[in-house]
Amino acid sequence: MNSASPVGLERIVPLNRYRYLLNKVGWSVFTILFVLVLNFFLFRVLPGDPARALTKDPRMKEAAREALRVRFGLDKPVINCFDSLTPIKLGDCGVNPLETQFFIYIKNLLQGELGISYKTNRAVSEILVERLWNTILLIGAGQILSIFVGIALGVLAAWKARTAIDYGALFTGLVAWSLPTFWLGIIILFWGSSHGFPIGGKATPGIGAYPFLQQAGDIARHMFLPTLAYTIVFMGEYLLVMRSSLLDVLAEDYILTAKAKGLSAFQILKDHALKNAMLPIVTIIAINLGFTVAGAIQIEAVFSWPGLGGAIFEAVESRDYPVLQGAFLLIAVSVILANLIADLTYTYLDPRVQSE
Amino acid sequence: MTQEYALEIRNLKKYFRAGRPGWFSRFEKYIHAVDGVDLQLRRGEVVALVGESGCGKSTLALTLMLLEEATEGNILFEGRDITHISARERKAIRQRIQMVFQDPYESLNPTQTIEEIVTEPLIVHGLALDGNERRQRVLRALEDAGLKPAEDYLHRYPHQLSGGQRQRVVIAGALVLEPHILLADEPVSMLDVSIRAEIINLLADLRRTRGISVIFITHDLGTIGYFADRVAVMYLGRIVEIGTMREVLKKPKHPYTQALLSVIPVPNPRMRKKRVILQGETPNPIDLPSGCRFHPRCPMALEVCRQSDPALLKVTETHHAACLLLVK
Repeated sequence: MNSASPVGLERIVPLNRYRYLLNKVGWSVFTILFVLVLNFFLFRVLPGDPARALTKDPRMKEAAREALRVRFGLDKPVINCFDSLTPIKLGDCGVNPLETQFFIYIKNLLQGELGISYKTNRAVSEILVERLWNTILLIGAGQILSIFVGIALGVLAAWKARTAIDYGALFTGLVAWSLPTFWLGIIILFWGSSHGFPIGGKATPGIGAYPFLQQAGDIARHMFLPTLAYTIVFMGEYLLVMRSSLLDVLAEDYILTAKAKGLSAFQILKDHALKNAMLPIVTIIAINLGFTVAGAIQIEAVFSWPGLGGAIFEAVESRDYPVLQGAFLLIAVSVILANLIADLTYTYLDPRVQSE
Repeated sequence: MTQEYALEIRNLKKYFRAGRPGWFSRFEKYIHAVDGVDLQLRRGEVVALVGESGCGKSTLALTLMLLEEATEGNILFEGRDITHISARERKAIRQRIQMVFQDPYESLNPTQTIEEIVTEPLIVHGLALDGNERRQRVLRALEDAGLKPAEDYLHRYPHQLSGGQRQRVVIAGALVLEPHILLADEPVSMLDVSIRAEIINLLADLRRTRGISVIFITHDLGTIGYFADRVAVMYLGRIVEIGTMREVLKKPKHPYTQALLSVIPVPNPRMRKKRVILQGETPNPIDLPSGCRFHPRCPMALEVCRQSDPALLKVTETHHAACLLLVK
């Protein structure tokens, strides 16, 4: 009677894991391609032709206007059979496909080129890379700080559930989460300006001439206020999710089992509760990290931080479509990659995921 | 090791506070989850604890596991009072009293392999520190729990096993500490009927081969039939009838036991039984009825049942029931 037949228990082969990984990577690539196409046509369908906005000065000669259109490639048909999409203007279907805007866009993309900004005449990729580093610096520091502080406070709150510590943390989290970002930014700006912190920009002009350590110190001082504002806002979310997730796990039967086996409270938290409670947090971190690239428009605006969020804001104001198109693609790709990383982390954290 | 009883429970009570005195009530209120239980578990004996949901049988188990602190009364493990002991001593006792929970889908950590689950108790208690010996003990526990060949299961995760196999893993996790007592809290109620017999047979085997004493908690009188030595019937936090399995199942004395037994289906269409369907709900364990706590639902209640609360009365040497009808 003691024989439990291992029926239906095929050995776990590592193949399973590779298949899962391949599947996830494949879907990510497919999604990126889809976004690529959608992103291109989105900016061809949008009303308000940028070329006309650029060339609507009546004093401009027809030849100069045409030269501009050639420079930005707007003289070519969008794609076979369509000369333009706003307004829809049908054209020759027999054009060499490689001579259409769409394929030129793809070709440039493969070479790492995202086009030329209508407004500044610089390469979009150059603008984005410069802004991206600033954003990663600020938002990255803010995210890392808020993840650590938020998770630590969330764990503490759940561990001391229904005590003054828990209620204090819960209140702090709720307040932090619901504060309007720009308002908190302005308050911090006021506070910081009276305590000798620089109130805008990324570095003091002319600091480039000083040695590296001095430069780094200057940037850190500029970063302090915006990072503080960002950390407070995002910490609340992590705190609340971590607390409720951990409380759920602590109510599970396997926690009681562990207690009955003789594990101490700390061992239970460390070995059983945290790993299981981290799953929802990983999702949120991944999504937030993906959007890190988009910057925090409100924070960047309040503190005049030259990041990507600010670049998007300026591009919208001046209808600088190539910059917007490049930024959208960059954000989409980073969100997709962040989700891919989250999926891969899941396979490490939760063995149930791979076998689905 | 000369003690006759593996576990002795004396007038055990566990109350939970249900509300503080405040705007709406002047007195503290308590849920009388376990309200004066006496029970002796001999070495190698299987006692089935039967009762409806909410009668306090799970709270009794948690209190015996020292996961809840007793409000009153004593728990004696092999003659030694363990009701209020230090955390260090409690850990040592946990090696000897192990528990199997109801739901094998919930009581295994989904992120651990079977090997990690079964090894963990050894590490926690600092037993079998030598890797090879530890592995041998884990393999033996798995095989004793009916998972053969044990090597095939070591690197699996709980979600790759069926409900019955998971429950065997839970049992292996308890066995690996070589406990003297196993508390099984409805270990088969979440399993398919076809698997139930296997798990019950496994527990019966363990009692025979390892001499483990078992307290088997269930709400289903049908599953204990061929396994328990003695049966204790619980109602509202108290044992109302206790005796050998034969005595309780064949000649029940308490009207509550009679009602429970009358509704078990019998696989014989010619045999007609008079079913006793109990009226009403179990009373609220906060405001217990006066007198006998079963009288509001008892089909045979007398006037005296409203006033006087019966203690367990002797029917035979081994059979006791708490009913005033026995006094006559």
